[in-house]
Amino acid sequence: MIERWRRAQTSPAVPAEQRDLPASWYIALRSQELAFRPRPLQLFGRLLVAWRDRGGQAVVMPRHCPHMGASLALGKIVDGCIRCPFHHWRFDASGTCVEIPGIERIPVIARQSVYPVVERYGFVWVWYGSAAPLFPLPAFPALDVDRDRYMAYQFSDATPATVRQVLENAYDHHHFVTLHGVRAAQPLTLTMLSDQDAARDNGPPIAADAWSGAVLECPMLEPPAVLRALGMTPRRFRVLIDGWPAGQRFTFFVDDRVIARELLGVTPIGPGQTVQRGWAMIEKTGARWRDALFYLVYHVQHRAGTRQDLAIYRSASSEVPGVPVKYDRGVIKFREHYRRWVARAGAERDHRSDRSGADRKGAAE
Amino acid sequence: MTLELERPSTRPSLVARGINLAASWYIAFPSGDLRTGPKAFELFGRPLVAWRDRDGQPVVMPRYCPHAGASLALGKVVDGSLECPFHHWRFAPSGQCVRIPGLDRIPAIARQDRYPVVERYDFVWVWYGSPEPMFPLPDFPACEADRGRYLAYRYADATTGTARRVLENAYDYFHFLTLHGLEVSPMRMTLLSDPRDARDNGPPIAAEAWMGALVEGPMVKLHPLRHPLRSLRSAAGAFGRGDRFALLVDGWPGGQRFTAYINGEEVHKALLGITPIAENRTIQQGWAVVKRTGSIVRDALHYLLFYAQNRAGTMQDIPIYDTTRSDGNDIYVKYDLGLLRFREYYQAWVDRANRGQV
Repeated sequence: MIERWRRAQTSPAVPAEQRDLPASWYIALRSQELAFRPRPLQLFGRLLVAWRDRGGQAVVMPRHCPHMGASLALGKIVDGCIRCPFHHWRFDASGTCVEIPGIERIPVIARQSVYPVVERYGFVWVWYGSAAPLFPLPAFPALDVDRDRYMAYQFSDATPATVRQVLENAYDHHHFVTLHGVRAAQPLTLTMLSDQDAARDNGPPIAADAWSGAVLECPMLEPPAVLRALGMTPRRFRVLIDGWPAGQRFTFFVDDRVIARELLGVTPIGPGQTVQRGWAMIEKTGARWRDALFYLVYHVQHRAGTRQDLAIYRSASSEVPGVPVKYDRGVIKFREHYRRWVARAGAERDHRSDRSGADRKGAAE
Repeated sequence: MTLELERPSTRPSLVARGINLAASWYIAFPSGDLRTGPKAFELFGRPLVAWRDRDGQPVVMPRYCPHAGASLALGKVVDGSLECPFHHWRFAPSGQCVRIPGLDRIPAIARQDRYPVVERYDFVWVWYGSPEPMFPLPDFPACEADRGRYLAYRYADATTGTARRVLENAYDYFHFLTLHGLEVSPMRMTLLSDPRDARDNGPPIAAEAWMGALVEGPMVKLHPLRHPLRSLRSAAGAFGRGDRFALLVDGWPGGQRFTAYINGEEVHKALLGITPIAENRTIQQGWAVVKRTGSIVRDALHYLLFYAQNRAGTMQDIPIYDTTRSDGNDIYVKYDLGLLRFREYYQAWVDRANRGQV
């Protein structure tokens, strides 16, 4: 009994709605986490439920039945519809109520809104910010057509950071030197890209107005001792970064050869609760032992770097306005881009809440 | 939720602000949980203390001494009064301060509010919503005068749902079919208009505090071979006989009495009380009783079947109570009219509690 209450107290019934998210594609959960039973989900500070229809397509909708508010996550999938446990109202994958036992005419307001969903790269992605997506989920060929060319691992890290903090990190080239200890004989440079053609190594182009990209260059790398010991003496190091407002693709080059790629997505659970997740893909060279060794080294430095970032995220304040300096230009550019897409989601949200208010009134009359 | 501090100078309210609770009788705890005391406990979202006076009568008052705010639950019962551990102020069962060591004149404001309390059916019941009860605690003869005619067990289930959520469930007759899979069709609910219509539950409850309904219908005939599980479960629910089901419910804003019938014959009863610890910490508790038939074997079977069925039903209800959203945006359909009536009735008694004491 006590345990149940403690849980209830630590997880408030109605979480705070997030208002600072850009319209975008977000990772809801891993594909394999969603099987044949509905699953409760919290995203964007909203209580949601995810389930699979008859064709196995993932569906994401508000968690509570519009009838009496029972949790659909306790329901069952019956004939490709989600059935509320309480009075057995059924909703199809479009959110339409298709059956109310004991009632012949289904009220017009008896429907659930559904989120646009795409399942790719082992994740269920959800569109946030408007009824229909404003751009398609960007492609990441390393995880589909080119999959065989890579050794891959998935990562997932929870952090109290905001989505913006997680994403702007890539444009903050100076922190690679200071926080992550990259040693170079010449300073690192970050060049914001204006032409998507320059980012084609990351994959097919992303919708132009949703896209931002940069190149991080380190012309005179002083390789860490572990690499030198392995006989690797890379000199030129380059990272190609591009993405959409809530996700990024990376290609890592050493001496102009691709060594690895990454896909970064985020799961915005609610204010102060973000998960950064995605894939790291290490290019195979054909030499098996060398590949295995390099995979290990890559994995260790990637995770160590993530640990350093997460420690900063845990302690940093997103409220501080910040003192922008010369090397923050990339971050500032990214923030402007990000803010434009937050505004697009905001416009849609205000529109939506007006409309649903009107709907409710209509039902009561 | 805000817990007001007991300030003797401002005549404290017994009503916790922010809790949507009807003026009513509520269960504080089972009688056995309170010896002489004092015992600290929380109810209505407020810290309280309970103890027993010289005659063994339970007393319930705010937990903190009006003098310097020490917890009276750390005190002692001395000469039928509760003595604060800090400066040994003593409070009589009426709440009046009867002794302050070192002072000759006891200040007039040195007293504790006390809640109206009744001890019945092996529970300590506390009145919420006004200084004096607006109606007496309803009778449930199956747990008193008629006790010998029943086999009884006590139940208690915690939920993060509200008191109203637990109580309105009886008037949501359609969920018996869907959530619990009751094999009755068609099912009908009739709201009762006269407290005497519910006399099988016990003597009539004060009319303005009362609400009642009768849920009934024919049992579905199930082919035992075609629907083996369903027909078995249905037969178990009806004790292997009968083709007509009925459930009589009536109650006051904070509790309910039930009588279930198979073919018009009474089979079991229940008393449902609520322990509203705070808005989202509720215990439903009370008694479930099965009518004795005279045959020990049959009684044992009925008891077991009823127990299993009743507990299974509760295990279906509680997760719903725990996870249901309460934002008032519900959609009412035809079969929800009884539920809507209950909600109106309940809110009217919430209003009374909120007006009850200022």
